[in-house]
Amino acid sequence: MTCGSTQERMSSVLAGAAGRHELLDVEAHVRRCARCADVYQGLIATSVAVDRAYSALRRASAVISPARVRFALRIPEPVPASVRFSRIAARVNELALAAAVTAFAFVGSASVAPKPALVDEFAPDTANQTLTHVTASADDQYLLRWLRLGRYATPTDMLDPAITPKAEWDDSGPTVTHERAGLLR
Amino acid sequence: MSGRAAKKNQDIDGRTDRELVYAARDGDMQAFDALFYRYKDGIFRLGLAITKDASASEEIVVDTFSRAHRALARLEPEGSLRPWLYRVAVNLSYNRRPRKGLVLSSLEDATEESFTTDERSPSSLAELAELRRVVLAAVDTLGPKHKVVVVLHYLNGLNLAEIAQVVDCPVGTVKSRLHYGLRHLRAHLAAHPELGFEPERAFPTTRGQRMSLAAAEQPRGTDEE
Repeated sequence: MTCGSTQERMSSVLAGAAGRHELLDVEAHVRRCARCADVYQGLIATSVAVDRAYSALRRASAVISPARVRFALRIPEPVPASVRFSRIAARVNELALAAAVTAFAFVGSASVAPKPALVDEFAPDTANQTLTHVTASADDQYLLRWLRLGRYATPTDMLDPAITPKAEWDDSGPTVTHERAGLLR
Repeated sequence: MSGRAAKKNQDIDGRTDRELVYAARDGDMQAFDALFYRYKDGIFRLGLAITKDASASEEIVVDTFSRAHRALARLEPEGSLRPWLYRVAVNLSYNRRPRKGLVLSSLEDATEESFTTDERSPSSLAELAELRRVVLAAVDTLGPKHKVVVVLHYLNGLNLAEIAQVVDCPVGTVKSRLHYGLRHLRAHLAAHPELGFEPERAFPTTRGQRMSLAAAEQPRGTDEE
């Protein structure tokens, strides 16, 4: 084997790509040839030095997420099944809540809606008569008056017992009760 | 995905690159993520060795996998996807190489963290740091073709056949480039005898040179006699 072919095989021996036969050939030639032995020793030393020099860099690692690739490609992030399920549940919740609020609003408005006014169906249909109003009877007027008095009147135990309310037919004397009751405004 | 989940994904997924590529082609992003976690560090180191810039290397990783995703439909990896990815990364790295005159932080700065975690004596660490500085400076003097072969073999651990796939040339050419690269490095390192490197000895090639060398090596006493 010539020096040239031996030196060509040295790199594959150093790279671990040479077979056993090739390795033995190179080593046999190196034992006979001083020049190839020098080249071989130099290559081994250089190979070891380069290997050591890169040893620290071999431990370097990149802290990158594949999300950066997706971002570069404008691919949306995949949504996990659990998150997808929780999103569906939340959406159903929202819809149920909206339905409940709507139903409540309808029912509430129906219960407080003004009832249709009573119409006297037997009343004669004249132009002067207002069908939407019912004329209260005399008893009803008294009742309304009583209610108004009850609302505005001062309780009787708070009144001055020295002052006796006068009768309706008696015009003389004080009208304290009525004044205090706010009826003479 | 959290770091722990990513590591779990990386550890558990025992599918081959071919299976992962086919799954990713069908829209399985987890398969693509598994490929990413499998090769991101190697591509990062390759980019770091060529560009000497960590942020540029991260961009190279992202760009490489972006191209891989776009090429999923036509990728047919027979064995490993690594040669294809590394070929793309090498091209991207050389496109991002710093221009002449632009000084970036050295490769040692990028690996500084690794130095500090090493549990060796300060003197041996200093010696190793000096060796690293000298060797990496010598590697930088290599041409792109030879440097790629050296980096792929010694840093990324690719064998000659894989390097041939990456650089798209015959294995014999890779052997030749590796041999030339190592001899070139040896010549550079010979300038540093303190690191234990000896210069290549000069051997006579012609008959005249051999005779003159023999005459020079002959002891003077014999001439006088």
